[in-house]
Amino acid sequence: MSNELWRRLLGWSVLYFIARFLRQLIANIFALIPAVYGITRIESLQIGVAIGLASTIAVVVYAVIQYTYFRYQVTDDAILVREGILFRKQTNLGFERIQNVSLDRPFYLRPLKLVTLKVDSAGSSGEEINLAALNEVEATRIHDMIRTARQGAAPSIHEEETHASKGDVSEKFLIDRELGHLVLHGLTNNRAWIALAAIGAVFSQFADTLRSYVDVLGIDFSAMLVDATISMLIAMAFSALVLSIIIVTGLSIAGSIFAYYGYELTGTATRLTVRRGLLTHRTIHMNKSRVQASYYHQDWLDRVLGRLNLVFEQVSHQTNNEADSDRRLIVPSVTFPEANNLTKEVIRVGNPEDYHYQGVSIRLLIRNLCTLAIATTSLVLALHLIPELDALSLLPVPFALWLGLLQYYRWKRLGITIDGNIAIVRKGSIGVHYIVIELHKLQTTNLIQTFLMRRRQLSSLALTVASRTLVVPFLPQGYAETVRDYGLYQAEASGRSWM
Amino acid sequence: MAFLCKINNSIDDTSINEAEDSDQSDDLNAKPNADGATPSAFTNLKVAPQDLPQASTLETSAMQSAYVSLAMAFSLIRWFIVAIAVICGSELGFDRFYPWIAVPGLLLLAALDLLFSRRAATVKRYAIREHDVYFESGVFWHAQTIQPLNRVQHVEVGQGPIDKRLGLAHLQLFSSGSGAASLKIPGLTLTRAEDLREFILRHRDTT
Repeated sequence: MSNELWRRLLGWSVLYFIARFLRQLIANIFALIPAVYGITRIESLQIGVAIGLASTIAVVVYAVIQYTYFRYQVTDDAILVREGILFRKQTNLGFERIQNVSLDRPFYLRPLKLVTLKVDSAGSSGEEINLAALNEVEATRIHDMIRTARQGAAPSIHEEETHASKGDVSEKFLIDRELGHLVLHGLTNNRAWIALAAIGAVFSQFADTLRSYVDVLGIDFSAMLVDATISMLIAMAFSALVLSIIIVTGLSIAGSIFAYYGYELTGTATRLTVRRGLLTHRTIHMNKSRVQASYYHQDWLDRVLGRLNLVFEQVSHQTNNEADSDRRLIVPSVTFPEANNLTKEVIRVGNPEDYHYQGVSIRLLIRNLCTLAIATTSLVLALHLIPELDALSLLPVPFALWLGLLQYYRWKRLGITIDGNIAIVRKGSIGVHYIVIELHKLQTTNLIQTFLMRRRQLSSLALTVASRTLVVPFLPQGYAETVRDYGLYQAEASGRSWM
Repeated sequence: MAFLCKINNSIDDTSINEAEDSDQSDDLNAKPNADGATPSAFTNLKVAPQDLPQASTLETSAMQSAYVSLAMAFSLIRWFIVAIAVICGSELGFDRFYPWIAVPGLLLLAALDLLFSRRAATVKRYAIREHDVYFESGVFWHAQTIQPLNRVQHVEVGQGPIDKRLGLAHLQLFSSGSGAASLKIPGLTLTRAEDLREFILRHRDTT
């Protein structure tokens, strides 16, 4: 193969490699704590400055070397990338495996009018390609090649959509999100990780544990010390709790605004396009046919505010980490009718609220309540037997009652319905979740039964699509079997692709 | 092609129904299935449930008898090692294991484990249909997995060193959505596993 075909990136892509290195560095911040500690121990200013300079130079040199060894090539049916210094790596991503394409405009490339083209694969290894600092012409050229190749190769996939809107190739405006929506989204979701992802990652768990830790402290303090200072301690713990919640919520709102500022969703007959981002402008293109599930996600606070987050899911590899979030298209803080209209753009389904759902057996509720009762009783007894904690022995009871109530609602919600090629699962305790899948995209089915369930003619049904597994426990066996047989029939006899 | 006798032919009949129904199925507001037996959480079905090929009435095959023996042999070896450990322990002075408690206790546990291993091996059954593979397993949590062939991403036939001696092999099917195998059939003969792999790959190529 001649070397002329391999192209280099622009020199500005060094900026991208520096940014990528820093991102990886901060993502591994916990491993670096000893190093950071060591730096703070340095007493002489000169040595500190010298170390700082040396590491800056090292990072830049590393990025320049990465840039020097990076080559890419776009052929008629694939993108090829060669990179790596010590470990040469060649990625060969065929167009037919491309899941979605996004154009990023990070803040450091925006003044230069350059973009980063990011290509996700649907393959089982979850590889991705980033072509940094392309000029608009080159990016558009590659993007057009991918788009035309995909449409030419797989016309049958889009059959349904083209049928629905013949000859409609123009971009249609679907929805945008204003600042207020993003604030709501930040409030209801722990999006703190996005704020931190702008400077790093991983902190969300930290913030979460902090919050729950303070939570625990608040209870413990009031519990352990029964004397005059108790009210003071409670006040302290309470204010600490409130403070930490305010901080986390603030971060969360900031994160939401960083990620979704200027959110706009448009669509053609076969494609969805999202534009979003404050520091990094991001344009993500997603093929409608690759959407595996539409998830109406509503937490309790969403319910109070009358909102929900709509998520279009694509193939995932069981990675719930947020680095993978490009595989899920989130529409933040929409109302229920808006969510319905958007879902109808992708999956032809009626209003999920209007269906009759096959509920699950009351034995699920009984089992869960029994487990809860046993756990509570043993906890109460254990507390009762320890003299110092005797006074608190009834403390778990209100919690258990609350959990029991939630279990009741959860049981009442849980259900599944089938409409033509569509399956909808309803779940949730306070907030209501709906998950809509197309049965012809089923990957695997599972029917699970314990000995006791068999006696009661009950079965748990698990339907797996490429983005998730939907589990509906304790269904009447006949119903579960029919859904399974029918779903398999749709997957096997329809001849339609799942991608 | 001996294994093809397990194929459920009713798939063909229903595919014809599908072709006829496909026109009206485009209309979401089509009236619900008139059949009274249909559960109300089913609407707009493209075929009546009683016309579907039913996986619950499948004729299934068991694992090779060598596989069952192997599972039981493993159980015996496990408990043999435990017994040796206990004996050595008591000779070293760990006389907490009084022989009149330890010996019957161990024997009981070993017998239960042996029975469980045997049951776990015999409860595994599989079947091949025209368009999918069926596998059931699990003593306490009994699971029936069905993997449509047109969703199989790749197929793997594997043989451990002991399997090789006994002429056993396992077949793994991978579909999208999770890294792990969606279905693993152990206790096949090597030729059978390879035949199945060919059948599955051929199916994928033709569709």
